[in-house]
Amino acid sequence: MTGSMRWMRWPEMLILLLMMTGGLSGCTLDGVAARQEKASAYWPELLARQTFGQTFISESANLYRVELATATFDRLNVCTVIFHLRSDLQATRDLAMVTMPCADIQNDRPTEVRFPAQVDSKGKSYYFFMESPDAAPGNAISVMINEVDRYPSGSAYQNGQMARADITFTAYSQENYTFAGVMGSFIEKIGMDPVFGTIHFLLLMIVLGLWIKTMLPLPPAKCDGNTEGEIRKNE
Amino acid sequence: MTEAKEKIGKQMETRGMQKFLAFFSPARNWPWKWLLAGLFIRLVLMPIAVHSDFIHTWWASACMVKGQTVPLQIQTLLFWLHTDYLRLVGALLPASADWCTQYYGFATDTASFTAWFAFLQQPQIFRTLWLLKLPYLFFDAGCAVLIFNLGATLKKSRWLMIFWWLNPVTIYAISIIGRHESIAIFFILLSLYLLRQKQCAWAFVALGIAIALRYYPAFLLPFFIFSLPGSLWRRLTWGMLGIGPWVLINISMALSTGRSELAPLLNYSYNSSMLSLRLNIADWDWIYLFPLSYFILLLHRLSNTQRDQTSLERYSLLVLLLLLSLTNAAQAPHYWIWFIPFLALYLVEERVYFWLHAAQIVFLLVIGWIGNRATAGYLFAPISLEFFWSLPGPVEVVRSFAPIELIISLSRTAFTAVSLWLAYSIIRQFPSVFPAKPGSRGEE
Repeated sequence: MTGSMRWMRWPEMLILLLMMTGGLSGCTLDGVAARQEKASAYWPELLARQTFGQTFISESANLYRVELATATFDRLNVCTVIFHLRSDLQATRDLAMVTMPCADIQNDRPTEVRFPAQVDSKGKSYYFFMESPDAAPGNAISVMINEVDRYPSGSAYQNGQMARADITFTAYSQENYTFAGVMGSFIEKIGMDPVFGTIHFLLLMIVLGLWIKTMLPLPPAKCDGNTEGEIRKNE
Repeated sequence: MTEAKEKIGKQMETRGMQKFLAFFSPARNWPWKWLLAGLFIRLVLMPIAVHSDFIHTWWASACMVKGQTVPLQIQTLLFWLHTDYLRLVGALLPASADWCTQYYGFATDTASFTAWFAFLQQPQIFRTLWLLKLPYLFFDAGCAVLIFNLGATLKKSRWLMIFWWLNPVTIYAISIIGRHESIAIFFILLSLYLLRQKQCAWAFVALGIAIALRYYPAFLLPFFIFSLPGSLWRRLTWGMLGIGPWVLINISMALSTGRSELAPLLNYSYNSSMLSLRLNIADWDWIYLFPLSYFILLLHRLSNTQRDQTSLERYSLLVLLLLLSLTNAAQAPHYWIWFIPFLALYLVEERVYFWLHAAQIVFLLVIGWIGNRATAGYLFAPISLEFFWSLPGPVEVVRSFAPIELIISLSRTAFTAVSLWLAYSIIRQFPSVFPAKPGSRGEE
């Protein structure tokens, strides 16, 4: 191996490859199942016997978390918030229910609500809503909304009535990834355009070949023991 | 008469060809080992990485190809170039026909994620990205060739070419982010090359094209005008040539559509960003730091008796260092490339400062975390949308164990410190702009 190629040591490359493979094998990541991230205002206080809700469609399976842009009016509220996840507005059965103290509601960052993963959530519509049975004026929380109804897959609901707005939220799903899976989807995509894949691969190989050629110490072009220059000189 | 004309025409053609060949004749001296390595990296990255800003330019161009009226407000020349290229390769782009309606969300700011997902999930995404980035690669390579021709010696030329071609900032901005910055930079470098060839008028036209394409080179125009020796009349002519392309484009726009870029440019959101670093004296009484330093630099230029291309290149570098240090331009990763050509021309003479650039790159990378997922995993979403879209961004990772805003702001501060130090090292190499006092050492 030449001096200029000393950095290309196979053991290091193998370890690097193994680390990359290991790093990607079996990792669980958050996927965005639905998102409406714009916020232009917040609703008034969520009082007792009121509900603030939103419908959405989960774009992936294993829906397990919703982040809501909430407001505490910059005070410590002593009340309880109950989060319900249902299949739709008419459903009476909760798919998940989470109770939390108002003290856990955030004012300057999203409030996270975790619930058991909904395994078959991909493509399904959902309705979540919040209620605060013991809230009162001056001791209640609220949610941020986008006053323009721009989220196409759902709408906000105030006390069960559709509002021309969307709650600011992000719904997350749990996704499992493996190195083989990621590479598989990559190769599958390449296969969708075999003409470009082939041409691009050939192009890469040509450039790589030329690069290797510049890296290798080529022997001088000899002819009967003389270099090309020497032959010319002799002539 | 006709024969004589033909003869002259042929002679001119031959001369033109000779000049063209002479421009590329040093190709045998190019550092091919590094060029091929850089080309390989670019070819690998071109089809698999992209930033969501990429679609904005091409969406508007796709609409223009379809003959639809697009509410273009700024950088019209850039959109025209993209439209012409799209006409050229449109047949090879399977999805281009639908872009105009499919990615409408990018113009109206509605459902942008949905539109971006649709773009990334199209079956021939690799081909699309590769073809649409191809003109940027050509201009990128053109920049490498031009910068090679700006070297004083063969060794320096090779160093300049390698510095440009393998600079992580260049590769990141052009091949990964996929922005069109190489086009304006090509015309800036062409301007420098033409100045070396004593083609002053054409040099200012080239700079004018860069201004019409991307505006920021307008900050360099006064330094181009006052760094070269010439009469007042010549300077006025250069100034007019420098803004000529932009004026011509606006006249043609005004005649055809009744609009110009002037009003949108004056209300451009980035203008306020350039003024965001300021000191308050009283109500309605602010001092803006970037304009302040720019005006001081301009006064320095006017007072400095050194008028040559080296001083021009160094003042240009100073302007761009101040722009990145004192405005929020550093927050956009594709803007980082702006100062690279001038930095290369400085560092090739002052290699002792090379480590400062290495430090700049490190700090810029941390500043780039502001983009979170958008400037990290999302960039590789064409490979596997689901996986790279799910990867946590640097903000999310670092936030769990350190105050992220503090880290980014400290990096920003360090970047500004390094850049200003670099600026100081350049300034102190200029001859003193103040007359020496009688009896002082200068008078001895």
